[in-house]
Amino acid sequence: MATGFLIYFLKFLERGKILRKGDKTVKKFLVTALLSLIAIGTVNAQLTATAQVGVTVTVSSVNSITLSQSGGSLTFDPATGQTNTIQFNTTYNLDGTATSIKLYSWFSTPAAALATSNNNNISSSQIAATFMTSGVSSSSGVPCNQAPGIGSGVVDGGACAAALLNNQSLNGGPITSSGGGSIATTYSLAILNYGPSLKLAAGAYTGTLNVMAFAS
Amino acid sequence: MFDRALSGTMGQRGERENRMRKYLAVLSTLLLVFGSVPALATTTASNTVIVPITLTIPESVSISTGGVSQISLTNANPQSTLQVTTSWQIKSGHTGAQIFSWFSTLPTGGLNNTPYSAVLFTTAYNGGATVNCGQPAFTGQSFGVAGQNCGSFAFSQNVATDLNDSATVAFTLAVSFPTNQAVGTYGNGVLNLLFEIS
Repeated sequence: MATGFLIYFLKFLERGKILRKGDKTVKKFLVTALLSLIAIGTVNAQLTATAQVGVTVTVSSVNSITLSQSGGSLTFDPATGQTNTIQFNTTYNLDGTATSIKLYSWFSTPAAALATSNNNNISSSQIAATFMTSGVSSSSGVPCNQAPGIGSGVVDGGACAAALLNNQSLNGGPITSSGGGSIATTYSLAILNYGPSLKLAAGAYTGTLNVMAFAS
Repeated sequence: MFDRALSGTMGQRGERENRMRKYLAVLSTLLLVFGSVPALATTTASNTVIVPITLTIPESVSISTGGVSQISLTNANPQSTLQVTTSWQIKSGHTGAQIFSWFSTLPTGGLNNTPYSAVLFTTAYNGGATVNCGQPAFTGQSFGVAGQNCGSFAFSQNVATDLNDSATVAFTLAVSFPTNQAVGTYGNGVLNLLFEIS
């Protein structure tokens, strides 16, 4: 169709004596220019013919709790049998079905919560956690021989008292999100009845405290 | 006959309906009981944070005379016994515990203002053998004064395993008054008691 139009257009120019019959150079120029215009028009026609495609997007956000710690390690003062205080920070993003969030701390080997290289041990039942979540809960003096029975690696018989971080009544409704903030819990350990009666051997005792937050 | 057949059919249908009603009643009850229970909340657990713990208890030993800081001996009372309490908190690896005693300064005085002879003093532990205080240097020890050392006492406790304990020992210091020792008051003597765990 474009070629027919082009031939017709050139003859029209010759008949009107606008273009001479033997003028091949001008003809070539006109043909090239007209073909270019036709080509541009074709490209424009392709763009406007683009089809629309709908893509289904799904975002799945699962329940999550993140626990972090500041303050470093726990070091007992040999004079008092108490450690320095550290802080746990708990952030969460939940679907509102959980009614409480608790912090669990435990020793993997209750009989040897702290031990020297010569196997002089301090059991978890001789140790207590002191913690405080402002306006929510606090505890001290409860031996770390609790058995919460919640699994997930928490060792029954080697667990300290659970720290309540939040619940529905305190929260004023379903627990959903910590909203970018976090729940701070101060935490330290103490050896119960620390003194000569414990008959502790001298030495370097080491141990590991495991801490995890649960929403249920 | 037709009526009987009809009534039989009606009876079977009624029985079926009754069974169906009972079934529906049970199903409705189950739905009411369990259908109204909200979805059980699942437990969401955080990551586990691990906190290292250390407790360093230094070794320590102590010895006490229960507040007694002076011993006076006379012809009428030539010996004195005091209770020496020792305690220890140690690591594994030790082999023995001992009390050593010696005069760093002998009592001096009398008519000639001379030291009272060390060999005229004796010590005994828990009523055991007496040892005079003219002993040579303690073997392998840096403390003591050769010629003025008294007896030592080895504990029966096995400190290789008894790592935190205490024990009280009756310590007796006695003096003799030979006729060639000038009479008079001899004072300012210093007797040392040392507890060692090796």
